[in-house]
Amino acid sequence: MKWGGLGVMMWLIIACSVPGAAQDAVSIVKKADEKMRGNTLQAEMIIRTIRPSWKREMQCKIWMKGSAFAMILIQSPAKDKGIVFLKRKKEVWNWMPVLERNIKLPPSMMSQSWMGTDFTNDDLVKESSVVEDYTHTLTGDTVIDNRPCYVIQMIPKPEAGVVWSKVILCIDKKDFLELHSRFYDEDGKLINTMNSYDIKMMDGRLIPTRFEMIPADKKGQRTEMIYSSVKYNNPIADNFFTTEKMKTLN
Amino acid sequence: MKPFCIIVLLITGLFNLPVPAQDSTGKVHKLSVNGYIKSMQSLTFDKDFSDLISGNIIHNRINLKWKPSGSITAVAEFRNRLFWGEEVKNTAGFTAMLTGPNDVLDMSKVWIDNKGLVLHTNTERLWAEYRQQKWNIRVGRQRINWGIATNWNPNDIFNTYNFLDFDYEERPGSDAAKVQYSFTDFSHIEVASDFSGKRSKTVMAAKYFLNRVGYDMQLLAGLYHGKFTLGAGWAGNIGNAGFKGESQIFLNGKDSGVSFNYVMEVDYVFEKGWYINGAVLYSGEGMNRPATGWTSFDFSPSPKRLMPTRWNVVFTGAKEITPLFSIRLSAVYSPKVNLVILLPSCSYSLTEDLGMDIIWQSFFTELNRQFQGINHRAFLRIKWNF
Repeated sequence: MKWGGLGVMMWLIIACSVPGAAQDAVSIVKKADEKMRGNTLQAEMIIRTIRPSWKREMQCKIWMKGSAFAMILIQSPAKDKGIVFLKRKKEVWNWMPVLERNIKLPPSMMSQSWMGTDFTNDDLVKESSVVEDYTHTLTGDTVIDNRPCYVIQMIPKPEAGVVWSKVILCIDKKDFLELHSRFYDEDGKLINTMNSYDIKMMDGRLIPTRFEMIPADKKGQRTEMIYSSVKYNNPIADNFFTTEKMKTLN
Repeated sequence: MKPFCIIVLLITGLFNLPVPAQDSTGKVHKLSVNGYIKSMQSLTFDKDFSDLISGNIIHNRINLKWKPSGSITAVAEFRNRLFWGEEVKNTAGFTAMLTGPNDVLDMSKVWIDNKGLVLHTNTERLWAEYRQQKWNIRVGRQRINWGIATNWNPNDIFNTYNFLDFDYEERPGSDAAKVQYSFTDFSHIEVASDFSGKRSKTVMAAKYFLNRVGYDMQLLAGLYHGKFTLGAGWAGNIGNAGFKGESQIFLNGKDSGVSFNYVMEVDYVFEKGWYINGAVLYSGEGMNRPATGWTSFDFSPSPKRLMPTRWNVVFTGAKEITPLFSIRLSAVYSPKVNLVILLPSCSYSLTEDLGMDIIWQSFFTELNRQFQGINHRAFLRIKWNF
């Protein structure tokens, strides 16, 4: 308890002595998040799961609106074609075209690997908000691919239900691009590292178009996600994100 | 063999041609085709693993979908199966067992039927749909999927499926018409009736669906073979665990009493990726005491009798060991009857579209006051999707 109390005091002192620092960190993360998401996002992407002895590739379409709504349609390989995932606030459904059925997924599924990749369901449909669900601290600077970056530490708020204990983000100072992230578990152990590459102008925005998720301690393993097309801020009605719409995407 | 190969080659070859189409988000083919070819070998042993019966099947499915406009869809799906081996030889009336249990119109064809070889095609789906923002009308052979749980579905009153028939993932359909009207984005009513034409065979019902407070909920009312039936189902969560259930009651008719089915299930995914699912099924018309012979166990289900036994508990554990290799074990136990079914299986992905499964089924029960093995079945399946 004593150490805990001391920690809180130290944190208060630091927070008070650097006025606006926490706010800056939040606004940097917010800018980077808004840049990648827009108000709405429609994208086509290729996801490659890479292991030392094999590789698998899938293609999918994704629609997102804020952090509340997301829909993913698998387009290849043939065995998974037509599978749809819908997220509405905290609820997630899975449309199985073979069964012609919607299955409501348990919330515990969110932290699990998505379709065998190194991305979790949460990474893809962003149930947790990088802005709302974390406390942000600007901890330093670094340079990635000749781009000066802010280093920001994010600690999840207790009520957010995030699986990580800590996330480190490196955000480009000029264009607010999230170029590198590290995810730590409850024991403070590094679990995943995400790098972003191939910065291109897509639909009028300069963004990274290739993302690599690398699990720690697993040599030769990674998952690549490549945007082949992106559209920002195309109006998508809320009623696009419904269990009825899932059935008609194919 | 020849017509089967020609059909497959023609259809897969023909429809690989690009067909122009569009929707609001990009390119969608007006005409699409997909399906699979599976090859499965089975071995059936008796309780002492001595008497052995082999079965072989090549199973092809061709699914055609045509979307001439945003509001109209037409679907035709065909299931072609070539059987050979002792199982075909030893089963009297084998071809009679191959058509769908709810098919009013015979849209099947036996191409070959001799002592050890059967080639059969069934039209599994053949429907047209008209869809507007609030309305949706679908007519023809279709699956009316009113189940909301994942193990057994008491609310699936049009086209009940056999939960042991793992090689029939699409499940049977029903010759019917269905109309749906949406009140809001997450509430609608569906009214459906099959085409049987006889009161004693007709299934006619309405389902009201809504989503509130994180729960999908549904209420059903209708007529099943001349009896009133009422049902309810839900899917939501308790904490981080999924919580689903269904119940269906059939009120008494002229020659039968009230019967009741109820299922409740919970599923959860652990941090290391273990998926667990536990369910309890009460199937009112099932047996509730040890049987005198194995022939008393009729696993072909009906909406009123989802299992041959009254009380059933199933527990499933599954894990993806690697993205290519996953394992699964289901165990069913029926207390009082003392029926045990063990269903271990594993799947391996050979390429993106080629997969292999090994599936085992073991049956045990109490007969003549002695708990004993009944039979064991092993299946090796290779599946190519296109």
